[in-house]
Amino acid sequence: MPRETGVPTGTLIMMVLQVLRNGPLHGYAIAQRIHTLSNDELRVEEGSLYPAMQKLLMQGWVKAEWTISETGRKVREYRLSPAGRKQLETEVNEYERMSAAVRAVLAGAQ
Amino acid sequence: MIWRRLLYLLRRRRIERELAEEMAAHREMMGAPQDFGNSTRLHEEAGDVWGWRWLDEIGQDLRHGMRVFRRTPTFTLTVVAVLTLGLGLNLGLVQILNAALLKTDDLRDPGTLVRLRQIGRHMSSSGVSYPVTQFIKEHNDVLSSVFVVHMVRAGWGNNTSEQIPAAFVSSNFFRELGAGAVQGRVLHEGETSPVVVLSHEFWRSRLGSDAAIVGSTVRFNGKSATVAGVASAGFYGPRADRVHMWIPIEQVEHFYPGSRLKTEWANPNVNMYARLKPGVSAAAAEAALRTPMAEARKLHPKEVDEDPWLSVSTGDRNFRGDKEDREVNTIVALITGLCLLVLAVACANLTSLMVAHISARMKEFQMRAALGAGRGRVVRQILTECVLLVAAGTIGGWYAGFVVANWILAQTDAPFGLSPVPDWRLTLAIFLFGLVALVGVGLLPAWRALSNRLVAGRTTRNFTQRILVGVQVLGSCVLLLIAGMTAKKLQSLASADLGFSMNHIAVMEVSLSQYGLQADAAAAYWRAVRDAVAGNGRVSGVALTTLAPMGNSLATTDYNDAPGLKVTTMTVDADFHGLLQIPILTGRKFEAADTRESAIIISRRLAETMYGTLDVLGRSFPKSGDGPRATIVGVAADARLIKVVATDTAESYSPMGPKDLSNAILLARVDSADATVLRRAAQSVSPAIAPAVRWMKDDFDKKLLAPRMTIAGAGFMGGLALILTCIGISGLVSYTVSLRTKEIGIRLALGAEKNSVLWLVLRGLIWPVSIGAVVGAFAATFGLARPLSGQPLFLDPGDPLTVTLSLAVLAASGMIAGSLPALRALAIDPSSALRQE
Repeated sequence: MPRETGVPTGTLIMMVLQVLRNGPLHGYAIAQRIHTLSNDELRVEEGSLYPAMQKLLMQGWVKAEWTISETGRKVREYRLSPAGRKQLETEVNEYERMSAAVRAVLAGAQ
Repeated sequence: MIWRRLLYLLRRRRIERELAEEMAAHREMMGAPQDFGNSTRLHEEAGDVWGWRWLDEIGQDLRHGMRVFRRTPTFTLTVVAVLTLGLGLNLGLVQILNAALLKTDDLRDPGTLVRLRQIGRHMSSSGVSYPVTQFIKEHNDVLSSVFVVHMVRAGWGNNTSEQIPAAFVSSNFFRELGAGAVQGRVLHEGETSPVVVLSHEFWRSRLGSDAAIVGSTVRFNGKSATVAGVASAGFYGPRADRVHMWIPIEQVEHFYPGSRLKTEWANPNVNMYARLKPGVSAAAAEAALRTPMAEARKLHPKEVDEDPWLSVSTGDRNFRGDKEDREVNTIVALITGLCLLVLAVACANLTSLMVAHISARMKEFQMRAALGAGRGRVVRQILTECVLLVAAGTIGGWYAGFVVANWILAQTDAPFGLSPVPDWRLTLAIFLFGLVALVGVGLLPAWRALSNRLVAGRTTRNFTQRILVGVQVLGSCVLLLIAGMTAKKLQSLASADLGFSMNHIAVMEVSLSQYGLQADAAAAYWRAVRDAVAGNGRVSGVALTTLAPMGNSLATTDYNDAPGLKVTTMTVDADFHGLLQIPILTGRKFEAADTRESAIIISRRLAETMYGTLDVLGRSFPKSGDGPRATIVGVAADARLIKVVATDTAESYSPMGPKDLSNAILLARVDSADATVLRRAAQSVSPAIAPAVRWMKDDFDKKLLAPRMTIAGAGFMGGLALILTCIGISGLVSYTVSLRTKEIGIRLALGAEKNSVLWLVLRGLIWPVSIGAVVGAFAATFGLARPLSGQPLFLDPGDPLTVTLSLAVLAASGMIAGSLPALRALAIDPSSALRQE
């Protein structure tokens, strides 16, 4: 059984924005998608997901609307807004810069 | 983002419902719903992202606070009442002081605006004679402009019985003061036809804001003039004078044919104002103007007094001279001191109320802390309640201040334009003051409770309570004593023998020089009027003088030979003493042959002070000096003719000469309720001249107004402080009872005597009350003796009767206030008391 870990701090917003890039998703699906894409490595806690979604709504990076899912359930889907798209770009750039820096430190220390 | 957050606040209910539904759906979709966690907590945490949690908490605090207020209505109402009365009284008084004495910001550039008063060796005047003002205007290099104001009263419209106040002013008056018009125009230089400018107040209240008034013809003193305009609202001139109308001084002859106002060098009867040139100080101007004044004296040695000079006072001190400034400062200091005392009593009172209230709720706070509330949350609860209380108290205090100020303005001849509406800055200041005081006293015990030091706190708090009661007793003791002293003073004034009789005396005043009647013409006028008046069956005596007793004008002289005395100098005719029933103790009344240079009558006090004896007939007055001296022909009994309250006055009387008649005032004893018989008699002699008639008694009542107001104010303050103190004492006793309910119950159950239980409860009061009272009595008697015994109240601080009475009132009220809750303690049912924690 693969070891499940929480999402590294500061990356949840970025990952949520990223999985929404290919189209609108509801909350449960967002958590699931992150879980699968990370090869079952990352699990998004509901306790962090919903505050994060409220924050995205507040910042205007996503829009929410109610629809009916494939399974016939009434769900609330989040759609990436143009501002969110821009934010995603910023966050990804920032993250890559950071992780490159961390890798460089690790490589130098060997 | 901010507006999205605000939008959230508006649509909150819907958004929260959606979040709940969404989470429910999520939970159902999960394979193991129990892993979802506590949905209420998740829901709240998600909602917190929007940052409105503090608002919810304030809402909770407010709701809880209101619940507390409803549960303890006595506490709530008492605190609000204390704040309302304590703050309101102060606010009202400060508003009046501020508006009447200290405020100058309505004037344009008040620091360079000055008022000039003509002073000479023999007389000092608040005015300057018009020719002197014009001479100074032409012959100085320190003033950039000069303007004058000459106040008159005369009939308005066709009915001359409605007298309105008006002012003849220089045509640059409005420009120099920076005032404009709301209708038409103000005055400007070179007015050729008779015009008037109306005050906004008169236009509004008397003429119903009729815009068509501009350009129409009105009548003043029976003469017609065109209305040029209406001055802007709130403009009343440099001293906020009571004026309804301004007229160019060039046209004084139109309204008063033959007026010599503009040519008479001898009468300093116009108010002179000027603008200082840039960089010139008032003192420098005063020094520089001595030269042209000396030249004026050289040109007109008979009319201009010796050693003439002009005193200069600036607008930023409300044109007060040094002496007036000192008097005003005394009044301000006195009232401020009393206000602060009331405030201190109120604060001490609030503190003890708050301490008792908070300690009663200790359990609640400890419970909250035990349930996990942070200190901050409990502190915020107290803060919220304090803000609510102080806000209610400030609103009440603002209104009470308005009522007090309005009452004072309604009682006095206050200048127009003073607003009774408390200044918003003052209101804000008292709100903050109340808040700081209340929060300070509320937080300390709560903080202590949360540190779980309740047991240690108990004794200290009781000690604090006692000190607070002591402070309150002290403050109200001082205030009560002052109230008692003013009451005694007023009573002695009202019943005092002023030394003359003013019953049925009417005063008829007319400025003959305004009508151009001088010397012979004036003498002829008065002879005729006198005969006409004396011919009336209802008139039983007539006399002439230049200063009306009980009037507002006053001429005093200080003599080196009579130190400490202000000698009122009266110019009177032979019938004056007889009419006013002032006995001549030795010597005689004036006779027709007496002149100012030959004869003088002095009062008993003046004789005793200056010569040490009443045997002064035939001696020269004054005793020494190189000026002109007259022979004393009589000594009159003392009579407080003009300054009713003062204790440092004496009188001298000079006979009236022909020159004095143009300024004469007629006094008559009229056996009728209607004094206008005098005016009818005068107008039968000369219909064009309209004199003003009033009763001397009314003037006397006006003089008593200031002392009456003072006693009302002091009495109100004293009463207020007494009530506050009683609340404080009763609070302390209730608090003691509540702390010792169990002990009292046990004592009663074991058969203690009621008296000993009563003693147990009241014992704590003895020291604070007696120390407070003794210190207060000492402070009032000795600390206030100097400021109170002089201007303006002339109180007698050391009076034993007043001290005893005030202390008795205080002791009696304190006893009653303390006994009520103490008696309640006796009614405690031992069995229920024992169950109390």
